[in-house]
Amino acid sequence: MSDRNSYGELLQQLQEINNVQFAEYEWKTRPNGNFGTIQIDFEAEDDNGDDRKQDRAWEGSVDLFTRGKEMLIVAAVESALEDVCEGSWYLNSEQYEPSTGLIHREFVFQITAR
Amino acid sequence: MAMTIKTDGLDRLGQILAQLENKAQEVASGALYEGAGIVADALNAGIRSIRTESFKYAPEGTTRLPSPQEKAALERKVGIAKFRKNGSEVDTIIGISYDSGYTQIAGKQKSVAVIARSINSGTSFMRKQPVFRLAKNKSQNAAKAAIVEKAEKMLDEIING
Repeated sequence: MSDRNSYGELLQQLQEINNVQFAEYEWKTRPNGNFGTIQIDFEAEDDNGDDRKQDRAWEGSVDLFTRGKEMLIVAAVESALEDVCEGSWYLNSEQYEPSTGLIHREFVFQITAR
Repeated sequence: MAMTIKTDGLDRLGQILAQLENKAQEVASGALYEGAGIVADALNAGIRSIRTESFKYAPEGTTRLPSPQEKAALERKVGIAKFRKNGSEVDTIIGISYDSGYTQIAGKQKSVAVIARSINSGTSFMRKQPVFRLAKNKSQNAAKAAIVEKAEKMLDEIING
């Protein structure tokens, strides 16, 4: 895990992605096009040094809804995750919703919170 | 000058090793049972914590939470799968499998596995509550410790009678 990263930095990078409506935490508006959201769910294991707590790590997820093959948007999300979380993220699920035609990708990341 | 070296206890050691080979699956199953119980408890607690809302139709353009009936279906169907055994390898699955069947909600047959997936990952109409991933995260260290402790205890019983 990177020691410089922060939730705010990830949020900012994700919000700067073009053509995506971004909602923080819970999405109460139903996605109707390119739509992303981010939420922090869980306090992961701590980084400890000499039995003293050094950093708090958090686990969260980014949910991205796209219509069609919006691979540039997906690449931008992956790039933001790679930049801030370095290797501590993965694509947890990818599902197509036949009723809406949306593709839902769920990325899970771990991040140090300061 | 000839020298005789004699060791005692090799017979006993041989017996123990033979026993270990025979009992490896029993030890692995016993230890896994302990760990699986801890993960299943965490998952049950997670499912009980799912927030619900009663609605007839979610208002246009907004997302919804699961209904109490959907939550109840998960509570009924969550479980530990039968242990799969292959020599000393034993594994199981905890949660809701695709064989969990269907439940009747508002006059419609709905797959319990699909309900679980919709709640855990979220959809364009349902806000996510990732209880399965969080239950795994919260319980995995405790489960690993319990598995090791149980296995050591069972091996100790075999070796020391």
